[in-house]
Order: sequence, then C-alpha cells, then structure tokens
Amino acid sequence: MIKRIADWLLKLLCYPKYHRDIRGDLEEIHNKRKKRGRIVADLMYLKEVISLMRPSVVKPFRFTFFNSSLGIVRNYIVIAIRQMLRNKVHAAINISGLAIGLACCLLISLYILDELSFDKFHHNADRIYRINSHSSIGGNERQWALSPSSLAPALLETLPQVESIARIGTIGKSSQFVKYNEVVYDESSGYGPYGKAFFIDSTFFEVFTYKPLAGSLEIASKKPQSAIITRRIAEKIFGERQVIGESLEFANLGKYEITAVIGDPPGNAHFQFDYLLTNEFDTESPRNFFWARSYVLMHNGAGLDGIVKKIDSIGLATEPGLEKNGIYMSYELQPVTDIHLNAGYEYELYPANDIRYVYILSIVSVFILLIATINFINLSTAQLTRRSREFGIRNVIGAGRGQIMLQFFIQSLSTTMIAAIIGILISIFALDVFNQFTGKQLSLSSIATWQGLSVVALMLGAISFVTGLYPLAITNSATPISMLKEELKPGSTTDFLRKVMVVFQFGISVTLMAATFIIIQQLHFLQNEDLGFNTDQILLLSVDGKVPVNRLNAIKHGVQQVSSVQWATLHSGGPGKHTNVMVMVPEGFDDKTTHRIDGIYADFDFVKTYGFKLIAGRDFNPALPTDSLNFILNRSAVRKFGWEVEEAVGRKINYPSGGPARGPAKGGTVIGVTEDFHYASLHNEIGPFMIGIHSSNFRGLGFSFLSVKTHSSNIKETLTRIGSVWDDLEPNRPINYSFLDQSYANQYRSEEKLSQTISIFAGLAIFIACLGLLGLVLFVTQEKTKEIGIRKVLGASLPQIIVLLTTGFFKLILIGNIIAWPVTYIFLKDWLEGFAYHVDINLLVFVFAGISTVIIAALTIGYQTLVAALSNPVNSLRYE
Amino acid sequence: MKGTFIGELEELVLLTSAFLANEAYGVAIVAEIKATTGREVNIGAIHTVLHRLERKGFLTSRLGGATSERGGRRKRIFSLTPSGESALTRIFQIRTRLYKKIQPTFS
Repeated sequence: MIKRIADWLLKLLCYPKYHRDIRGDLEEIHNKRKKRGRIVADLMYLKEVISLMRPSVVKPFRFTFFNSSLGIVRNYIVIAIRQMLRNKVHAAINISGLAIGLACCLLISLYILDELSFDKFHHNADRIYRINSHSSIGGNERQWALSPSSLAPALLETLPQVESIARIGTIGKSSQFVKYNEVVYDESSGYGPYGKAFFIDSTFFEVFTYKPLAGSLEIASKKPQSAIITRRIAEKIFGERQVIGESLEFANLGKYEITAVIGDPPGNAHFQFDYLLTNEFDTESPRNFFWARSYVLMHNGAGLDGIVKKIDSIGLATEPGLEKNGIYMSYELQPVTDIHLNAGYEYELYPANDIRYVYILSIVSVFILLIATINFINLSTAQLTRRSREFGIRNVIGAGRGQIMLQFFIQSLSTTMIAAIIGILISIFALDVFNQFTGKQLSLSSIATWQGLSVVALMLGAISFVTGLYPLAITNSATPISMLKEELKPGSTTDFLRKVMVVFQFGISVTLMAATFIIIQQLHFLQNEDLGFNTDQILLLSVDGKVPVNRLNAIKHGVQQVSSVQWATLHSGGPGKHTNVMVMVPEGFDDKTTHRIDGIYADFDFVKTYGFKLIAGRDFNPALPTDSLNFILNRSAVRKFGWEVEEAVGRKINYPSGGPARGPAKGGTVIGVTEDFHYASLHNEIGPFMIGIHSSNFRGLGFSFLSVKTHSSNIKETLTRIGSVWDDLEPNRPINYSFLDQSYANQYRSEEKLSQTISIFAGLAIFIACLGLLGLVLFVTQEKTKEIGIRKVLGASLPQIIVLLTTGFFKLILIGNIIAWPVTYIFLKDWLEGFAYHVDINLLVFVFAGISTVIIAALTIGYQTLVAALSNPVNSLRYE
Repeated sequence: MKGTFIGELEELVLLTSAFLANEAYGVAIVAEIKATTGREVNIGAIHTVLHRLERKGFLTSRLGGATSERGGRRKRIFSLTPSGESALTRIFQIRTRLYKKIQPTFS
C-alpha cells in the first residue's frame, strides 16, 4: 500500500525520461531491504521517493496543462453565461434560491461562531473554571452558578493544582447609584440581572484578561476602596479617559477612587460590567458575601482528575454550617468557555443561551440551503435533457467524459459564484437587522479568516460539484448517438429521485410552518394564560430595603394620595420577580421537619392590590394587631401540608429556631387561603406559596418593591404624578419603575425570539421551495406543449388539462405533508414538555399547514398552468 | 562556462563510474561511494548528478541487462566519454598543482 502510493507519486512527479531508471534502482534497493521487513522497506522506499523530489528530477511544470485547458475553460464559462441568459427564469430561480440560502447560512454561522467564542478571549481561557454548586435542601435539588465565598481561597490553599482564584460579588441594586459632581447616575439596571457594578478579588486580573487603558490593573486591584471602570463609563461620566484619581460615590457604600480604566468587556463574555470595586473580599469579614461566583485558574497541565471529590470534602470542611442546617452541597468545575451555552444554573451573571436553540438555528439554515440546492439539481437535470444534442456533438468531436464533467462543474460553479456574491451582498444588508434581532455586534470580518474562507470555498465547491455532476451521473449510460438523437430522457430512477427531492423540500417547509404555528400558539398561551391575578395596570417601583420602613411608608401613602391610584403595597419580592424562601414548621409536624416554601413578606394591602382570589378565610386586617404574625397560604401549600382548604384556616405555623423572626414571635396562624396563582413564569409549576406580613425586626429582609394598582387609562399622567411624589420624598434616588405585565412578558423573551426566527425561516423555506416548484412546472408545461395541444384538439376541457399538469405535484406535496407531520409532532412535543404549562398540540395545525402549502403551491403554479392550458393548440402543433 | 566546471559530488560520481566501468549504474554507484567514502548518498541525488553529467557531455549511457530484482527493468549503464576523461585528468592536474604549492612533498 505504502509502496503503491510512493510509486504513484513517483510516476506523477518524476520526469518521464528518468522514471524507468530511477524506478528500477529504487526497486533494486527495495528488494535488498525487504529482508529487514516489509513495512520498514516500504517506508524507506517512500522516504527515498520523497527525498528524490528535487528540481532536476521533478517533471518540469511548464504549465502546459493549464495553458491548453484554459481556453476551453473560458469557453465553458462563456457557454454557462449564455445558458443563463437564455434560460433567465431558471437562472433566476437557481441564483435567488441559492443566494438566500447562502445568506442565511452565513448569518447563522456568524451567530454560532459568536456563541461558541464566549469567554475565549481570556489568555488562560482553557485553564479557568467556575465552581458551581448543586444544592439539596429538603429534597429540593438546585444548581447554582455560585459557591460559598470561602471555598475558593480554601482550594487555593489546599490544592497544588490551583494557581489563582477570582471571585465576583454582586452589589445590591439600591447601592448602584453613582454620584459624581452632584449628578446621580442610575447603574442598577445592568446587562444581566445584577446592575453594572461588582466587587472583585485582588487577584481578579491574574485570572481574567482585560486591557488597561489607563492605570495599572496589578496595582489597582490590590488597592482598597478603588474602582476600575470601563471606557464607556469614563466617557459617559467624564467625557474622557484620563480619570485616574477621581472618586465616585456609591450609595450606601461610600467613596471609591478610580484607579484604572479598562476597555469595554467584549460582547462575547458571560461577565458584563462597568464598575469593578475592590477590597470587599479581602476585608476581615468577607461574610458579607456568603455566596460568590468563584473562579479558579489551574496550573498549566494540571488535570482535573479526582479534584472534584476533593472539592466536596474541602467545601464541607470550610462551611460545616450548611450541612448542619440541612443544606447538602456538592460542587463541580465548569470550564469558563462552557458557561454561556449551558442554561440551567440559577444566579447566572448574564443569561446563558440554550444550546438547543443554537442547534435548531444551524439545522434550519442548513435545510434552507438544502432546499435551494435541490432546486438547482432538479432544474439542471431538467435542462440537461434539452441540451443533449450539444453534448452529443461535443462527444462526437472528441470531448471525453472528463471534459464534459468539467463543463458541467464550471457551469454550476458560475451559477454558485454569482449566487454567492449576491448572498454576501444580502447578508451585508441584512446584518444590521440581524444584529438588532440577536442583540449582538456581529460583523462579516469574523468569518474572513483563512479557516472561515476555506470552509466557504469548500461549501461552494461542494454545491457546484453536487449540482453539476449529479445530473450527469444519472445519464451515465447515454451514448453519443442517443444524445444526438435527443433520446436523453430521464429514466424512471431520475424521475423518482426528483419526486423524492420535491417531497423532501415540502416536508421541510411544512415542518417549519407547523412548528411556527405551534410555537406561536404556545407563546400566546404563555402571555395570555390566566395567572390567577390581574397583571394589568400594576406598576412596580423598586425601593431600597435599607431605607427605614417609616420613610417607605411615607412614600406609599404619598403615592396613594394620587387620585388614579387604587392601592399601593410594599413587599419584599413578588410575582414575576424573585421570591423569598420561607422556613417553617406547620402544625402537626415536629420541630425538626422544617418545610421550605416560596413566599414573600408584604404589608397589609398586598392581597388587595394584586387581587388574589381567597377561597377560604379572610384577608389581612390592619385593625387587628395580631394579624402581623399571621399568614395566607395558597392552595398548593395547603395541599403540601396535608390539610383540607376549609380546615386550614386557624392552623398554627411556627418558625423553627434560627428562623427569620427575632424576639418573642415564634409564628402565627393561617387566616386565609388563596387560589393558586402563577408567581413565577409558566416554565415552572405553581409551588406552595405563603404571604406573611413584614416586620421591622426581620433579619436581613427588606422591602424591594412598591406595587401600585391604578385604575386610570391615562398611565402617562399617573406616572408623572407618582414621579413628583417620589422626587419630593426620595430626592437622592431617581425613580425606577416597571410594568408587571411587561416583566411577565420578558420571561418569555427567548421563546418569542424562537418563534420569530422559525417563522422567518419557514417563510424563506416555503418561498425557495415554491421557486423550485415554479421552475419544474415551467419545464413540464414546455415539455408537454404538444401533448396539451393534441389533447385539446381531441376535445379535452380546460379543467382536465389543469388536472393533468398539476396532479403530480400535489401528490408530492401531500406525501411531503404526511411525512412531515409525525416528525414535527415528535419534536414539538419534546419542546413543549419543557413547560410546566403548555398547549396541547392541536392536530388541526397540521391540516392547516398542509392546506397552506397546497394553496401557496397552487398560487405559484396556477398562472403558468393556466397559460399553458389556455394556449391555442394551433400554436403548439404548427409544424413549420 | 557551466560545462567546464565540476562540483564535488559530480567529481566523485565521475570517478566512481570510471572505476566501475561496465557496472556503473545508480545502485552500484551509491554502494561504491558508500564503500570508499562512507557517505550515504540518496539515489535521487545520484540520478540528478548522472543526468547532469550526461548533459554536460562527460558521461554517456546505454541500457544494460534487466534483472528480476529490478522488477524487470533494465539498468542504465554509464560510461565516460573522452571529454569526461579529459575533465578528470584536468581536475587531477589542477589539484596536484595546488597541493604541491602548499606542501612540496606531495608527489
């Protein structure tokens, strides 16, 4: 085998005059060496041949080959262009379909490349890992992007493989108001859920790579009370970049001196920020941050084998308190580059993307390209029959099979290249829209690497190859004579394959269309499902939990004075936002079996403001002082505790020792039960929920929101009036509000994107498939002109002829539908299972998608068939 | 002129072919050079040199007998032309003259 390759190489490259001699000598040496083993001899032989390749032996490339074929190649290109001009419709269909397909592929590749490049810009990206936690609390398993902040330093100390660590601590939104020169900047709404400012470790920049624009990161990160800001902030606040030494005042945190300015974090990073504040982790009591996002930088070449188990035991040793409180932890190291495409961790700094959506996008874009390629194949096959005389003559004159293949290839290549140029132009124009849609800053330059370009070249080559050579391959048996006689009719296999391809095209189109319908239905369902309360006209103002309760109450009362405000209520968390976890011991359970359920603490007006439906008991009554210790449960909570709704009222619920209540309050009584309501998104099932009255002696639990229910349609006026009340009472803080229905809608943003994307793709797929259909109908009607003429002369009616021309296609579309339906059903069922609440797949959707494709196809081919059917038989039958 | 000068390897090959007389073909020359000088010369290099010498007119070649171990191919036997012989003589004279200049005891 090896020897054969070597021989072939020798023959290919060696100057023919010397070939015989050299070959003989080599053979002789090889024979002598054979005694030492066949393979060794063969390898030596190959080595000899390769070292033989010196200028004097190698066949002189005088470009004779290229010279002689260049002329004919030029001729092929000319013929290809003439063919396109002659069959303008076919060329247009091929080129436009391919161009759209290529543009889709190009844009999607940009998107996918960007998704895959997340966090790779750090110099040590392959050695950075984030410590994630799996927690198990009372049988409730959760995955967090956090770990105890004491764990990373412990790892650094005990594990020799760890080179350095970095931790990121989030800062309460209420502290993210930055004052400079008496101007307050609200930085509390960030790129992810946590605002724009973060605390970092002094070793942060040993792990992560950022470019300093001013100041030294090394010094800056070690200096206490210093702030490292990004370029955009330096430009926003100061209008320049030389801002070292200035100080910024953070609400509640005090003054921070700017010690460095760095470039904006790239868009493909899971950590998006504008301010990094130092010192907090390095103080005496880092307990302020029990949890932190922690990263470790491993030493070069250090494996991860066995480390994870050690981390678990180190974690247990560092924070024994967790397990004592019934929180069982285990840890994992996640490569920093994997973070972005691994949805499923809570408390991510930046919303992770679901890798399934990346897959869906890539599969769909490939499908579109496939549909376009199939058009191309089908149309070239159709054309081939018409050009058979040309090939017959070429063959007779002396063109070999190889040359005819070359011609076909060049012809396809010309079409593909034109399509590629148009496709690139389309993607340049569409890039802006696409960027807006994906929220990314993609540019075509990211594909202009040699790898990217060679992939593009390969793809274009492959398309030309398939579309050029497939039609030829199916006429394999054609002899020059048969070609000259124009007997080159596609055989039954060809016909069959063409049908299969049409079925495939329409199968894909129907799949995408049905998927669009179902996804839109589900989205509509998510957005309109009865949540158990009314989200309309509820305004959420964020408030600062550290502000004394009486001041918050003053704001609340002020807001309530506004005439269009119906109710206002202060609460710790809430529907559509985060909720708290309540630890309790319900009546009938012993003190050790604590229950943890979701819940919130609010004031007396909460139930009224949100309008929850009470199915037993009563609402909180401010006139009864004991009510501040009582609770309202939802139906699921009652069920969880094993009670009946009616008998739940009056039951006692106690806090376990170490619970949030201080002082004598050990618990309270259930006074009411509400119907279940969706306090979280519809991805999750409704869990047990509890509403308690907030008390000022709760540890670390403050109000976060002031919800305002208005009954006016003039939202704008109401907002201005609430705003002026706010500014009077809280002058140091700009008002920050959101609408509850919007914050609910935002939870389904990724589904909304999916539905938009799929519908765009479905539209494109159907469009390209119909283009192909149109091309085929044009071809068939032309082929059958005479037949139609004869049939008409013999008395066929118009409908009969239309049926004759179209039945075949509709059969194919129908088969495509029937194949597509179960496939779509299976895929979408799987997708819908991801929602706790979802629509059932209505089988009518498939029928609807099927009928739509038939109608669209009918519209596409209708005109052409009608023209053919109406044509005067004299014209088609005249023989002159 | 290109034709009048001879490189070191060329000289070696020329000498070896003169010595091997009727057995001067690729493999034999490689083996002989290895035996006398200990140098491992690649067969391709030898062919290059042989053909170059032939082009320069120092060598001429004819086809010899075929052996089975050559896969039935015939050997190309090289022999010196008169101009090859005179080239060797000239080189020898030039070398000797130079050696004598630095060390008269060379004879």
